[in-house]
Amino acid sequence: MAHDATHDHHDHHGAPQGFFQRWVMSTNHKDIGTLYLVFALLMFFIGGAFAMVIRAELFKPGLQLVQPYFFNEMTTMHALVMIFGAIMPSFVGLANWMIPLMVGAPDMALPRMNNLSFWIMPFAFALLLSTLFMPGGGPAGGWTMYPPLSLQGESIAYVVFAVHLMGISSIMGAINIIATILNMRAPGMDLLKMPVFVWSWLITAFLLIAVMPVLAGAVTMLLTDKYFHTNFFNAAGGGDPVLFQHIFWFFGHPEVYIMILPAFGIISEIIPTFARKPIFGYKAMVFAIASIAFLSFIVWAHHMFAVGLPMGAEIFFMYATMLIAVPTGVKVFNWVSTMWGGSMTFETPMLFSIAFVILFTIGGFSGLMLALAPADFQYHDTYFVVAHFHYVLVTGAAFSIMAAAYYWIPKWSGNMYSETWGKIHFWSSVISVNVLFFPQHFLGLAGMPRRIPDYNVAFANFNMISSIGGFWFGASQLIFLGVIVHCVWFSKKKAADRSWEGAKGLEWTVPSPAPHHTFDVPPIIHDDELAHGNTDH
Amino acid sequence: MTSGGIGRSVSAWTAGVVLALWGGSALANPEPDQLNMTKGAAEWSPYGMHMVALWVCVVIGILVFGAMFVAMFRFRKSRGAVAEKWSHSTKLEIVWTVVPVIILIFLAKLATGGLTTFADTTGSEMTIKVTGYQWKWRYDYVEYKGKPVDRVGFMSKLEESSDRTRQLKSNLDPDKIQVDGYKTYLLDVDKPLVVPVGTKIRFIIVGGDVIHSWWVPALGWKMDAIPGIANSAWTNLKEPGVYRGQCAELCGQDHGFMPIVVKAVPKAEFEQWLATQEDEAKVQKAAQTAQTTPATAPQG
Amino acid sequence: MNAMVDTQMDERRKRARRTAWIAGGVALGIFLLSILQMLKL
Repeated sequence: MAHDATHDHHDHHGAPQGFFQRWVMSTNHKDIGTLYLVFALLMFFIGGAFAMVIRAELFKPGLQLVQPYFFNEMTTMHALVMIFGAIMPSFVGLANWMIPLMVGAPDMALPRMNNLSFWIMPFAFALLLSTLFMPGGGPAGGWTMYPPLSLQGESIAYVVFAVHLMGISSIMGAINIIATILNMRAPGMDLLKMPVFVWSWLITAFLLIAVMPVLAGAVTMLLTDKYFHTNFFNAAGGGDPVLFQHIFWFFGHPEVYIMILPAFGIISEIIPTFARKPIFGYKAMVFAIASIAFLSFIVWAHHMFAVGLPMGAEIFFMYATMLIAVPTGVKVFNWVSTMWGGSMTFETPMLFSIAFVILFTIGGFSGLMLALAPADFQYHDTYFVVAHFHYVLVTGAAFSIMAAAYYWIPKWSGNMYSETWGKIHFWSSVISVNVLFFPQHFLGLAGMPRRIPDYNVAFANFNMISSIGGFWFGASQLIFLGVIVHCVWFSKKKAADRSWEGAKGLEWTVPSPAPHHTFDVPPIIHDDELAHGNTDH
Repeated sequence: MTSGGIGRSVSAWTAGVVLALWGGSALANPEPDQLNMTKGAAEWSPYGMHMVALWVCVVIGILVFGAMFVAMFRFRKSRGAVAEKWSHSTKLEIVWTVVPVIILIFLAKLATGGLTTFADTTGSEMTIKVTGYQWKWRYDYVEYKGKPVDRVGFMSKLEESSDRTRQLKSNLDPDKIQVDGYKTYLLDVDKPLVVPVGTKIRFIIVGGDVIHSWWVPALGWKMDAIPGIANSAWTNLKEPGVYRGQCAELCGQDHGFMPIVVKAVPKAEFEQWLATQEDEAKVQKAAQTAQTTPATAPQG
Repeated sequence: MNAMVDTQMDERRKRARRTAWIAGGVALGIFLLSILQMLKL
C-alpha cells in the first residue's frame, strides 16, 4: 500500500520493476488497459478456436468430427467467450488506455478498483472454460440460457457464477469510467469538447450499470430454479419460461449496443484523422448515440417475435425497433460526409474503418429486415440471423477494435507497426469475412435453422464456402498477432508523438510511447488542438 | 466425395444461380444453391414484405456506398485533394432524418397489415394440436369442420435412413436418401402430418418438455412451442404437396434432427384418410383397454 | 503550484468516489428490484 501512496503523490518514477508488482498489483490505467487488451486477444483466439470446430463440422453434410452435444457446447461457449471475453474487455481496455489520455486525467478515478475489475475476469473465464473438461460437459443450451433447456445442463451453476463475476467486473469498470469522465476531466475540457469515443463510452457505461444487474438477477433465478426448487421459469410449478426471455433480452438488447456504441466512437475518431477534416455534425453524433442507447431499452421483444406475443406488443416492438434505423442512419451519413471534401489517405486503421462503415451498414440493413415482424416469422432463428449479427459484431465491433489497435499502437508501444503487413491483414480479413458470412444470408433464407450440427444436402455448397471463408478468416488473425508482436518488440521505426498527420486530441500531445504517468499536472486545453474544439455549431 | 465436391458445385453453381434468382423462390422446399426466401405454398406469405424490404435496402445501399466510393476516389490526398473546413449542414441533416422516417412509415404500414392478417385465427375449419418433445413432434387432430375428431394423434420423428446416416462417422452418403428425386436427408419423417388443401387450419402449438419452434418455410412462419403456453397460428395451403421444415429453437442435442413434414392432400382424400385413422384408433382402443396410452393425456 | 494542483486533484477524487458510490448503489438497486419484482413482493 505504501507503493500506492507514492504513486498518488508526485514521485515521478517509471513503472515498477518486478513483473508481479508491475502487472498483478498494477493500479496504472495504461498497464491495466494493456492487461485487458492482451486478455481480450487471448479470448478472441480461444473463442475463434471454438468457431473453427463449428465450421469444420459444418463443412459438409453428415457428422464427421464431433457429437451433436459437443457441437452445442461449442456454439454456446463461442458466443459467451467472444461477447464477454473478447469484445467487451477489449473495449474496456481501450477505455482504460485512452479515456484518461483523452480528457487530460492522470489516471482512472478509482485505480485500485480498476485492478480488481480486471483481475476478476481471468477467474471468471477459468470457471467458465473449466466446464468443458468436466464429466457433464460445458453449457450447451445457447448463450441465451433459455430455460427449461439450460436447466438440463449440469454446468449451469458454473456458468451462473462466471456470469456473476463478469457482471461485477463490467459494473465496476463502468462505474470507474463514469466517475473518471464526470470528475477527472482537465479544466477547460467541457463535456461537449470531449472526443466522440469518450462520449460513446460514457453512454455505454450507463447502459452497463442499468442492465448487467438485470442479467445477474435473471441467472440467479435460473440457479434457484435448478437447485432450490423455486418456480420462476418452471411451467409445471406456475412459472413462465417466457418471463426469462423478457428479462434476458431486457439485458440482451442494450448489451448489443454496449458492443457497438464504443465502436461508433472509435470510428468517429479515426475517419476525421485520415480524412483530415473535422467530424461532420459532432453534436448530432453524440445525440444519435444517446438516442440509440435510449431506444435500446424499449426494443427487447424483437428477439421474441416467434414466442407468440399479443399483436399489440409485436406492433409496438416492431415500430420501436424500426425507429433505431434513424439515428443509426444519421451516423452513417455523417461518416460519409466527414470523408466528403476531405484529403484522405488509407493507412490500415482507415481501411478497417471504411470496411466497418460499409459492412456494419449491411448488418444494419439485415437488421431492418429482421425488425419487420411478419418477415421475422420466416427469418427468426435461421442462418439469416447468424449472418446479421456476425456482420454487426465481427465486421462491426471486432473490425473497430482492430482499427483502434492499429490507430493507437504507436502511442502504446512507441513503434510503428508494419504498414505492409497491416494491409495484408486487412485485405485478407475483409475478403475472407465476406466469404464466411455473406453466404449465410442465402442459407437462412433457403431454410437452414441456426445451431444445428448437420443439415440437408441442399445447404451443402454455401456451407462449404462459408467454412472455407471461416478457416481463412481465422488464419488471417494470426497475421494480426504477428503484426502486434513485431510492432511492440521488433519494429525499428519509432513513432512520433503525433503519430498520424491529421490526428488531433490530447492523447497525441504526450510522448510516444506514453510515459507511465501522464497529465500529473492537468494540461492547458487549446481548442484548436482538440478534434472537436469548436462547439459553436 | 459426397455432395460437397467442389468440382461439381462449380458446375451446379451457374445453373443454381439462374434457378434461384428466377423460379427458385417458387419452390417450397430448400433447393441446392437457393438464394432467396420461398414464396411459400400458403395463403399468407411474408415473401412480398421481404422483397420490398430487400429492395429498399439495396437502393439505399447503392446510394450510400456509391457516395462513399465517389468520396474515396475524389478526395484522396494522393490526387492533391485539400481538406475543406466545414463540418455541419443543418439542411442536409434534416433531410437524412426525415427521408428515412418516411420510408420507415411506409414499411411499418405494410408490416402492420401482414401482422394483422397473421394474428387473425378466426374462421378456421380445422384445429390441430402440435406438441414438441425432445426430439420429435406429436400431432393431435382436435376438430375438423366443427366436429371433434376421435382420438387421431401420432408421433412424428426423423425417418430411419437419415437417422442411421447422421450418426457420427457413419460414412453413409446423405445424397443417397431421396424421395421422388428430392434429397430428403434430415428433412423426412416416419409419419407426416396430413392436412387438406383449401382449408383454414388453426394450429395450437405447445411444448412438452423444453422450448421448440415449429417451422415449415412453405407455410411462411414459425411459432415457438413453449411448456405451459398454448400458441396459435394458422395456414391455408393452396396446392397439394409435401412441405418440409425443422425445429427452429435450440432444444438439446438432437435439435437438428427433428424435422417436420406436412403433406397437403385434396379435401376428399383427407376426409378418407381421417376416417381410416379414426377407425384404426377405435380398433386399437378396443384391443388395449387395459393399457393407457399417453396420447390422450393433456400435455403441458 | 503543485500543492494547489494537488488539492484540486484531491477534491476531484473525492467527487469521483461519490459518483462511484451512487452508480454502484443504482446497480445494486436494479439487481434487487429485478428479483423482487419477479417474486411479486
